[in-house]
Amino acid sequence: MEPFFRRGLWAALWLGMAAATWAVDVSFDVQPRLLNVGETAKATLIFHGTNKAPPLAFPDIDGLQISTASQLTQNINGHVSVHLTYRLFPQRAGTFTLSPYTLEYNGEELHLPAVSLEVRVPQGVEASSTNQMLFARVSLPQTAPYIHQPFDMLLSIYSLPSIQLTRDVQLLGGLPESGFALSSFEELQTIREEVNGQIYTLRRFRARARALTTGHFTIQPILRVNVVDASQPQRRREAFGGFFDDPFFSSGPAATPVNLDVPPAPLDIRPIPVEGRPADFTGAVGEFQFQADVRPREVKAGEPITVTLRLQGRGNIASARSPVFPESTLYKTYDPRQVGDSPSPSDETGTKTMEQVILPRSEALTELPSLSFSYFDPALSQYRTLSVGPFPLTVHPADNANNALLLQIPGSTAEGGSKAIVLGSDIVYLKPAPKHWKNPAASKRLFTPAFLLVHALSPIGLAVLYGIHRRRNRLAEDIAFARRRHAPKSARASLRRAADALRQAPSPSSVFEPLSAAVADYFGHRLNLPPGAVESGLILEKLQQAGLPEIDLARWREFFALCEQIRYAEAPSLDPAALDGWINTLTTLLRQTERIKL
Amino acid sequence: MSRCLHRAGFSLLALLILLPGGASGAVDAARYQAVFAKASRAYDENRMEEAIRDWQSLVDAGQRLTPVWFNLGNAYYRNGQLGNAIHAYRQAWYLSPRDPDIRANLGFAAQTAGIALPSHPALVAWMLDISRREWLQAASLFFWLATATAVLWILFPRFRAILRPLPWALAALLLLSMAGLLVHQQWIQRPECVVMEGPSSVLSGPFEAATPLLSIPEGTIVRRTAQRGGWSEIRYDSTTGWLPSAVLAAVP
Repeated sequence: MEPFFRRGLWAALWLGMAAATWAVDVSFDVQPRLLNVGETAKATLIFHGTNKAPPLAFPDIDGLQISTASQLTQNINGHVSVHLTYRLFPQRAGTFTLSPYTLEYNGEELHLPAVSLEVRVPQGVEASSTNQMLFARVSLPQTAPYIHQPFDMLLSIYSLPSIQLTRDVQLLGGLPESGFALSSFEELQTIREEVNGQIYTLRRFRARARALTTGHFTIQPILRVNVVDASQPQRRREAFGGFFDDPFFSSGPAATPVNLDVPPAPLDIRPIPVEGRPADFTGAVGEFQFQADVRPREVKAGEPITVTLRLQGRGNIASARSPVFPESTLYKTYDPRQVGDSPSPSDETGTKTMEQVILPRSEALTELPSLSFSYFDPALSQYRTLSVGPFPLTVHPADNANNALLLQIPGSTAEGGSKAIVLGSDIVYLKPAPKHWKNPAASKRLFTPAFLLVHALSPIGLAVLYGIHRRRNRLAEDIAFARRRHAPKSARASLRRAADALRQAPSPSSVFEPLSAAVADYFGHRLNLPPGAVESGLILEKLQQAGLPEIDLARWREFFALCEQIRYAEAPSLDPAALDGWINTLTTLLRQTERIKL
Repeated sequence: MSRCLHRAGFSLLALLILLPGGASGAVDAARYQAVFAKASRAYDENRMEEAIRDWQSLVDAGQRLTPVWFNLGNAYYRNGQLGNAIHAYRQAWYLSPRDPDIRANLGFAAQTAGIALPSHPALVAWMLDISRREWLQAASLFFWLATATAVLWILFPRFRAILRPLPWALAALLLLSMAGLLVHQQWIQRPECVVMEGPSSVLSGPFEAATPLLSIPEGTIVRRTAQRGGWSEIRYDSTTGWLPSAVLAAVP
């Protein structure tokens, strides 16, 4: 056992070393590739998968000094690499080509690609305005994509090599606020580019966008960059790292924010064409793959079959709908359910997996029909349809055939042309005729005007009832109030007696007795006084306090004087007309008194 | 006082007679009965076109009654017109939402069409299980009971201790009835519609070239949220889109 284990260990070690040797790969790059005389470029040679690198001496190139290599070994998460860095000093303008070189490493030939370096004479005149020193552009490789078609959006920031920018770049707006799904921007490798004879450092940012609606849009982002202020030199760091060199106390270099206006880029989002649209198209745009898996393939009637439908691809995967099996006479279907996470609407790629359970109704089911999924391929500008199936099945009779759910579908026939047998349920039979028929002329509305009126009047009736009840209670409980309400009525009775006396025996005493009784009754009730307390003086005082006009007060005084005279002295001679006049006068005075507050 | 009570009782009775649905007049019942019987005979003899025509004529004549809609749905179902069948069953369901026969046939037709019936939150579903007419009758009844309680409260102060919990209970029941009516009102303002042609593509906008969002089969029940020209904005599951109004039949 032990020798076997030892041999195995040696074999594993040998294989590991061999794999480490064989897995070596090399990459070569020079940046920047466009520069002015006097500037320096950096060539980087990376050996991946090894911690040893052969020294590479570049052959002499006329006009280009190449420094000796500085070496750095990296081990990131087990990935080992060796970086050899060379400094390139061009001493004249022109184009220099490095490599292609072929290295021999552990008996293996490694090929380095050719790299060109273009060196210019610096322009005599520097860019004069800020817009020439620092500007930005937005570029859309596709200016007329289809709706839901992903496309690139590239932001480029150009700055003269003498201008130093901080790393952070802010996007302040200028992109459509709705109707677009936009990924976050990723920064690409910084390069150099010549514009109008000037060499610029170019920082590039790329995002993937997808339009959710059609129409014409203008993309004009507003960018903010921070320009490092060269006039404020950074504090010199101490050679061995003093206390204040701690990053905690450092706010970084002074920088000035600069907003960059980007020229607008038009974008026309095209609708997907109507022509040639398949009937089962449900709006998927992109490039998709569709697979279906049916398990098990051999079951008894009534036993479940699970269909796994997998839709994956690039495009509007979140809103793409996988086709499912519809209900059939031969099998019953359940609503499909999604398995796993659903891609978010902003995802460009993803997978949707659905599971649908199917119950065969009878052994007549020999296969599940094919399914097709249609989508619009914007790259080809045409619709494509993917089909899977049909899926052959073997269905055995159920153990208890009476439990099989076979439903009769009108106008449909089972396989073989015979009618499906109704074993389970069917629609419930007809209902009998209604006992009462509607009057077509009657209002079809539930809220008829009469209905609303009656319900609206109810609160009013309730309020009236409450008022009456309350008044009745007050009359029963409040004597003063009850007597006050009774005062006019009692006066009217005495006045009627006076009128009767005038008709039967028109003498002053027979008429004035009920008249004085009317006044006594009225003021007794009105002022809630006991019968003996009603006196002419008190009445006149109350009337005067109430603000009765003097002319009316004089009439009252005259009436009271006449009453005293008739009662206690010789009655004056008054004809019936005069007596009638006093009845009317007293009626008027009492009515007037009824209107004033005593 | 007893005379007053008699008068109030008589008035209440008179008002209850005025409840919705109480109005009826002279109708040609014999003629309707004959058409109904003729349609039933045609159904039994598998002459579905004739049965559909007769029951539809009753609907057109204003006889929008549960048995008429139900039987019309059966005839449509037997004739293979699933969209029309589901529409008729749904009409019957709105009139008699707790009728087990209607539920069974509606569910059966929906299963045949491969559609799922709309599902609602439990409270809304319960409120829809009581018809609009029933909610209105309940609201009216609770209103008059509350009014009668108020009358007793006014006229018989000595009974107020006994009556005290009643106004709160009646107010709660009245509010519940109003909520039920409000839910039905929502369904009137944004009615359910049955898709009569299928499969129909729900589009992202009210124009032919709009992007299809999903395809729905005949008989699918959707909610109409807006109308523009010949297009209806509909909501189905969580998707909002547009369909030509011509392919939709509103319920109720």
